[in-house]
Amino acid sequence: MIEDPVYQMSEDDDRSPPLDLGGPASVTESSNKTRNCTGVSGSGSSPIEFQAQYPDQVLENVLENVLYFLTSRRDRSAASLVCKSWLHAEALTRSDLFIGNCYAVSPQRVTARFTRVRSVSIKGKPRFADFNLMPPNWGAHFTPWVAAMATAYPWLEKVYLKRMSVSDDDLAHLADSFPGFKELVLVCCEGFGTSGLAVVASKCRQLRVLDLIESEVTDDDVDWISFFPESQIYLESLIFDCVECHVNFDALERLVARSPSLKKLRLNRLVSIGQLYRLMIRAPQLTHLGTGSFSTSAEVMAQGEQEPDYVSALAAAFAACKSLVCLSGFREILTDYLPAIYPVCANITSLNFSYANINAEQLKSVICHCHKLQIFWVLDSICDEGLQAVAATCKELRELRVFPVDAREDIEGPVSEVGLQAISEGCRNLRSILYFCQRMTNAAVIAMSRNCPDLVVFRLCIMGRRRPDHLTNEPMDEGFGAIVRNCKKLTRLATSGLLTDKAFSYIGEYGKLLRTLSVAFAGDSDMGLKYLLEGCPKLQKLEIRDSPFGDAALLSGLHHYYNMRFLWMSSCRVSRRGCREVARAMPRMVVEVMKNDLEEEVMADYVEILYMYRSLEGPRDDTPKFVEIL
Amino acid sequence: MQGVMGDGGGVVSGGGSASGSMSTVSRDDNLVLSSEDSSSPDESELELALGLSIGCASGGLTKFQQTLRCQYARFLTAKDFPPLVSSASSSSSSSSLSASSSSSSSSSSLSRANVTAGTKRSADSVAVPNGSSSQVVGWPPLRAHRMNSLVNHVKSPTAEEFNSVGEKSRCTNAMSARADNGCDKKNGNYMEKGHKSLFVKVNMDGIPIGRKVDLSAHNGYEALARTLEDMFHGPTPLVNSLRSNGEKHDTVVRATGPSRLLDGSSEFVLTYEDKEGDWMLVGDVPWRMFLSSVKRLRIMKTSEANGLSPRLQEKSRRQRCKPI
Repeated sequence: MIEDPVYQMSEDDDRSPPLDLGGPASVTESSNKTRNCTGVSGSGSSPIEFQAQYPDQVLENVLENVLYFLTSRRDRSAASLVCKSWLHAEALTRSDLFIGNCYAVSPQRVTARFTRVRSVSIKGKPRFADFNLMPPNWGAHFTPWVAAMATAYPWLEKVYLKRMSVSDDDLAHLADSFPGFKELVLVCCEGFGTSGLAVVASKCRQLRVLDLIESEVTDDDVDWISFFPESQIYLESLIFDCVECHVNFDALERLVARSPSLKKLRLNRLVSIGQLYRLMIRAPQLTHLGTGSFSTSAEVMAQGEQEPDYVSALAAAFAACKSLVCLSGFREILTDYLPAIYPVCANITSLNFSYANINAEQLKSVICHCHKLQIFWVLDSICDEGLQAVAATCKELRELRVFPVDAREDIEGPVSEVGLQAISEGCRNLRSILYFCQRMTNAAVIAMSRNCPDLVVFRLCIMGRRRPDHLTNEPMDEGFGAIVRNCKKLTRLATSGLLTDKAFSYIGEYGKLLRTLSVAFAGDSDMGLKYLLEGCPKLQKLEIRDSPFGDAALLSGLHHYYNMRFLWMSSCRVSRRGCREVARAMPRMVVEVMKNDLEEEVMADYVEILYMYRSLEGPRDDTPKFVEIL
Repeated sequence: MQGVMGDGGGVVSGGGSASGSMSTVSRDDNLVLSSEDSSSPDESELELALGLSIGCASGGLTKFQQTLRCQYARFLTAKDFPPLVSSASSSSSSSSLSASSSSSSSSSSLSRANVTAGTKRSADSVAVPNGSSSQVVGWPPLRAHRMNSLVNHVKSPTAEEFNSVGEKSRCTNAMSARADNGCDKKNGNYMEKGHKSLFVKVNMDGIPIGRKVDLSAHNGYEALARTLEDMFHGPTPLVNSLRSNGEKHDTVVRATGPSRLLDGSSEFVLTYEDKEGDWMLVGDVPWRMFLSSVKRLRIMKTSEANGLSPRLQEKSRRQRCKPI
C-alpha cells in the first residue's frame, strides 16, 4: 500500500520545504547528517529536535521516501533500530501494522508511535485455544483496539484479526469509525453474529472484502446479505463458508449479479448445488470458488427428483469460469456431480476436498486432470490409494493436508506410511505437509526427509497418543530426527507418536531455523525441553501439552524467552514456584497461570496451563477469574 | 451463565448430549452426579456448560478441567498412561465425533467422581481394556468447525470399513438421512441417545431482531428466564443503529430483575407457541413436557397477554390431563 509522497510531506507544516537532493552539496550534507545521526544515537545526550536541525530534516525526508518501499516488517523493524531519526521516519511511513500478540503491546502505545496506518493485523489467543485447551472468555478482545484506532486511524482500510474475540458492538464501532474501510478478514474469531455482519454490510460503503474464515458466527436471525446496499457494486471477495445459518439466496444472487469485480466467493454448506449454479453463471470471472454443499437440497431429494442434465449444465458453468484457480467447499458432496468440475481441473492450483467424503476412485477421476495443483487439502477417506494417485499426477504440489474422517484413536485408519511414502516420492517440491494418520513408520518419515528437502512445514499427527513405529515398535525419534536434519529450511514442526528425549536432542541440534514447534504427549524428562530451549535459537512459538517437562526445564530457557512470542505448557509438570521464578527473573514476561477449578485448591502448586509472553505493558487488566498473572 | 450462552449460541452442536450421557454414566455407576440430581446449582450450571457443543470453547471448561485433573492424578510417564474412559462410555460411542464429545464428557464425570470418590474409581478405569477409545480434550488437534462438519458425514458409525463400498454406502446413507432430517443439521443428526440441541426463536415485542436460545442447555424455567433477560437487557448500540434505518420504536426494553418474566410482575410475559400452534404462558407444565411441545418463544407485553389468559389457563389444564 504505497502512499502518495505529497501527502507525507505536506502534513509536516512546521518544517521548511525539502532541499533539492540532486547536487554534490547535498551529498556532503548527507554524510554530515549521517555523522550527526550516529553521534546522537551513540552518546544519547539530548533528544533530537528535528524541526530545528535542518540537516536532519533532509535525512528524514530521504528516509521517508525510501522507507515506504520497505514492505517486509522484519526489514522495517531493523530499520527502526538504527537510530532515533530512523525510528521516527520508519514510524511515519509504516502503513501496515502487524501485531503478533495483542497483549504484547497496548493500543495506546501503538497508535502513539505509528500515526499513518492503513492496515492492521492482530492475533490474539494462542493456537491451542482452538482445541478447547483453554477455558472460554480468556480475553483477546478487539474492543480496546477498535476504540483506539477509531480516533487514531480515521483512514483505516483493512483489518485482519486472528483468534480474537470480536463482538457485534465492535463491528458496529468499526463500521461507524472508518469511512474508507475496505477489507475485513476474521480468521478463527468468535463473539459476533449475523447482526454484526449486517452493520458492516450496510455501513461500510467502500467494502471490497468480507472474509470470514473458520470463525464462529452466531445466528441472530438477521438477513445480513440483504444489508449490502444496492450501491455496493465493488465487492471483490465474499467468504462465508463457516457461517452456519441460511442466507437469503435471492439477495445473494442479486449481490453477485451487481458485483463485476467479485473474484472470491466461498459459500456456506447451506447453499445447494442448484443455487451454486445460479451464482456461477452470474460470476464467470471468479478465481476462488467455495461450492457450498455441492448437493441438492433436502426437499428435492425427498421428492425423488433427479436432475440428469444438471451435471452437464454445471460443467458448462465451470467451464465458463476460465480464471478459476482455487476450488473448495463440497461440504455434503453428492459424488454424482463430481464430473462437473473436470473442465477446471487443468487450471486449478488449489483444491480443498477436506470436507468431501470421497473414496479413492472418485478422487482419481478428478485428480488425474490436476497437473497444476499446488495446494491440496483432503480427507483420509481417499486412503493410501488416493494419495498414490495424487503423487502420480501432482508434480507441482507444494502443500498437502490430509484430515481424518474419523478422529478416534484406536481404529485402523485408512492412510498410513504407505501414503506418506508415495507422496514423498511423487511430489518432490513439497513445502508443507499436515498429515493425520493412525499408524506411521520411521522409514517413511525418513524417506520424506530425503525426497522433499525443501520442506518448510512438517506436521505429523499420529492420532494414537504415544504410538511407536508400527512395524518396528521403536519410538518415532529417528523419523523426526531425519526431518530436522535433512530439511534445512524447516521452520515449523509438529510432533506426535512415541518420542523420547532423543528426538528433542535431534531437534535442538539440527532445528536451527525452527520458529514454531508443537509438542504433545512426548518426551521422558526435563532434558527434552532443555534440548529445545538451548538448541533452537530462532524458536518463537512453542506449544507443549501433556509432556513431562518441569521447572528445571522451564528455567533453562530464561536466556531465550524474550526472543519468543509465547510459550504454552499445559498438563506438564511445572509448578507455581517455577513459574514465579520465571516471572521474577524476567520482568517483561507476562506469566499467566490458568486455574481450572475455581472452587478447589487441590494441588495448589500444580500449574495446569502456563501461557507466557513478552509484553511492553505488564500484566493485562482484563483477566478472567481463572487466569492468574504471577 | 450468560458468558457461556454467548459463546455457544450459534454453534451447531449436540447440545444436550454431554449432560445426557453424564447422567447415563452416573446411573450406571451409582454416582450422585447428574445434571438433574445435583444439589448445588453451581455444579449443575457447570455441567450444563458441557452441553453447549462439541467443539465450543465454553464447553471446554469443565471437560478440560476434569480431564486434566484426572491426568495429573495418574500421570507418571508415557508407559503408565491409562485410558480415561470406562466401558459405559464405549457403549455410547457409536458415532465417531459424538463419541469424542460424549465420552470425553463422561470421562469428565468419571474424573470428577475420581477426585471425590477416591482411589476406587481409578482402579475401575485402569481395568478397562485398551481397545476402547480414550478421548482426551483437544486431541487429535482438530478445530471445532471441522469436527462439527465431520459429524455430519458419519451416519452409521459402528465398525465402518474404509473401502470403496463403505464410502459409497456412507454417501447414500448421508443422502437418505438428510432427506429424513431436512436441512437442519442442528437437530439430532449425531446423538445416539437423542440429546439434541433445541434452538428456538425468541422474539420480544418492540425489538425487530429476534434471537435464538438453546432450550436443552437449560435445566428449568428459572434458568431460561434469566438467559432471556440477559439477552434482551437494554438496547445495544447495534440495535440502535439498525433501528435508525427503519421504524421508530417506542418502548426501550429493560430487564427488571430476576425471573420477573415468570412471576407476572414485569410488564412482559413469556409465552410460547406449541406444536398445535397455540400461544401458551410459559411455566405451567413440567419443564420436560414444555421442551417436547415448544416451537418458539415470544416475550409479550402483559397487556396483550391478558386477553389470552383465560384461554391459556384452560388449555394448560387440558394439557396437564393429557398422557405424555
